[in-house]
Amino acid sequence: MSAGRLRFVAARLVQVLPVLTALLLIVVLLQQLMPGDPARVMAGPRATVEQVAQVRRDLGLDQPIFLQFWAYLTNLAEGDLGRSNRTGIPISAIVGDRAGATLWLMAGGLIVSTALAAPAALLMALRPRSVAARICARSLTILVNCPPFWIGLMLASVLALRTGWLPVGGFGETFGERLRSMVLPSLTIGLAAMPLLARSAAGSLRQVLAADHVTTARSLGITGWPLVRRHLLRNAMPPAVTLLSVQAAALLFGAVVVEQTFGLPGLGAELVSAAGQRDFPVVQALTLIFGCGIILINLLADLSVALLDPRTTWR
Amino acid sequence: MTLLAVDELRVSVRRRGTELTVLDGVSFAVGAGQCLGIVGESGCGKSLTLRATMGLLPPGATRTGGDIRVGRSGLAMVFQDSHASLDPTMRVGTFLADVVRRRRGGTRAAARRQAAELLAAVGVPDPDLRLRAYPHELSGGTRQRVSIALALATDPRVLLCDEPTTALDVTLQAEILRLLDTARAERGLGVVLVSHDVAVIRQVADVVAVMYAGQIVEAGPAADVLDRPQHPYTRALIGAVPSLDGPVGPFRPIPGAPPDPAVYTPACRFLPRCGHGDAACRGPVPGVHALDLRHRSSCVQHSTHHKERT
Repeated sequence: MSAGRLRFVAARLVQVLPVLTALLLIVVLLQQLMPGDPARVMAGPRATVEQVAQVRRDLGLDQPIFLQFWAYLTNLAEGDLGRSNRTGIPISAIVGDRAGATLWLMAGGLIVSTALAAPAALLMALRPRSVAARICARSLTILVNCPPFWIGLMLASVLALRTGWLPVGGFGETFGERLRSMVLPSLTIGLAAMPLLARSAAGSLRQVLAADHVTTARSLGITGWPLVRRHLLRNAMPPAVTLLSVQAAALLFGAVVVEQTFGLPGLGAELVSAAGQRDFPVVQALTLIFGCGIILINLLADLSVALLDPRTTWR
Repeated sequence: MTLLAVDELRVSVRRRGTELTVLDGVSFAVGAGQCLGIVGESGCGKSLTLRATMGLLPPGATRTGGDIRVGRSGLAMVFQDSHASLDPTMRVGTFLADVVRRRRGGTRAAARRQAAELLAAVGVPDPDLRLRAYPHELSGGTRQRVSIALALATDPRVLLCDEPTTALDVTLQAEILRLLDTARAERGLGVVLVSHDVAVIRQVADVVAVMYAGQIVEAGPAADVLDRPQHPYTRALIGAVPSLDGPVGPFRPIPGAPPDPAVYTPACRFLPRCGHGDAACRGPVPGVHALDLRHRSSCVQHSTHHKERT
């Protein structure tokens, strides 16, 4: 790897630190910002003022903010995310229990959206005047205006309720059951994310198609699939990967909705119920995890762009 | 032996819903070991002529007429901007070996070896090292040599060069021109070289075609066209180049600008910028081709000018 690329990777890794610090700060401040007093919620509706004050002291909420921040950090360093207000279960156990469904969903959504967007983009870029490409472009326009939960409901009613082929909800126990139960949620997320991805990929493919170096390749007799594979894809990929990473953030929050729609016991569903019941530690921990997920996805995207484009350097 | 003959080439471009004929009646031929230089100012259709010949017209442009005969020979093209015309994500050696293998077959290792030989042949020092480089890691001159090596890898009989030295400084320009000349002599290549630079054309061309507003206005052996120009445009073009050994005088640019393709007519298109016009210039002017070595010009006034000068 060239010096420019190494410098880019190093600088990009260093850049994660301030973002991570900001995320942690926001997560700790979240208690202050969210409506409701966590101590009062924990102590219960009939607690006296003294009892609430006692709980506040126990939680360390009477401490200055930077001490709270420090306490949160030291706990975090030990892998302690705190305990749920409602059940008293350690949050790390909740996360371990629930992360599976969300990861399945993200992976499924990613596979579906890429598998659908790639051929659509190639079709629209390489044969823009064909009937198929026009139909494809129109369908994308319609699809981009469909909210995910609606797509989910439609898919469930058409593919599951009418035919009974697939479960409408739940997460199953065995690997096979899980695979089946992930089909509809993955399709939902994939279909919601796919139109933007397909359009942007088609756009960058068209741009590369018009580039001088593609004309050179053609003048050397390279046409058809070899041209696409050797010269188009790699050049068109960086913008698509970047957009995919931006979309991954949207996907993660889309997962909140989709998990609710299909009754999946994932992190998103947990976040919704925790927020509804003022379970502050859980909300905090999940916000932190989602934030880290997004930071990680963006980092991976930038690093893969650096891998794809040899000209990458830190500017 | 004629390797490439282009006959009555016509190219149209769609602009705001109307078809504009931007190239009209362009005819030329190149023989083995011959270099045809096409000279003219920006926008006269030189590059488009090459693109059309190569069958690589940009989107929006279509060939609406004419005949392109390429013997059993292949065409290859060298482009102006070597920075933009090489795939930035591909190592030079990978690309070159790819092209070699497509053309000649054989194993990867053999293609790689031939790629190194090609690089050495176009004067790239340390070819094995350069094969591993990406285009952006190379200097402009080396990149243009790589472009030429790529073109030569397809074993063409005719090389089309679109302003191959415009992006380079004068020293490199001379080197690249010498390289093209060597390739022509050693391989018996036909070369079509397009440039706006009369000096470049003078250096390498045997036959010169002068283009103006989508047509050839004068053609013939290089010495005749450049030293005894017949068309006022050719004279003005040559006169606009400051001479290094002549007396120092003011620049003599050509007044005005070339016409827009929307107002192309069968009359002389240079008339508005020409000092010598009369009624005869408003009628259709004869077409000029560069299919043989006769010196021709489309100027209907030519005979009278000729008299004035002698």
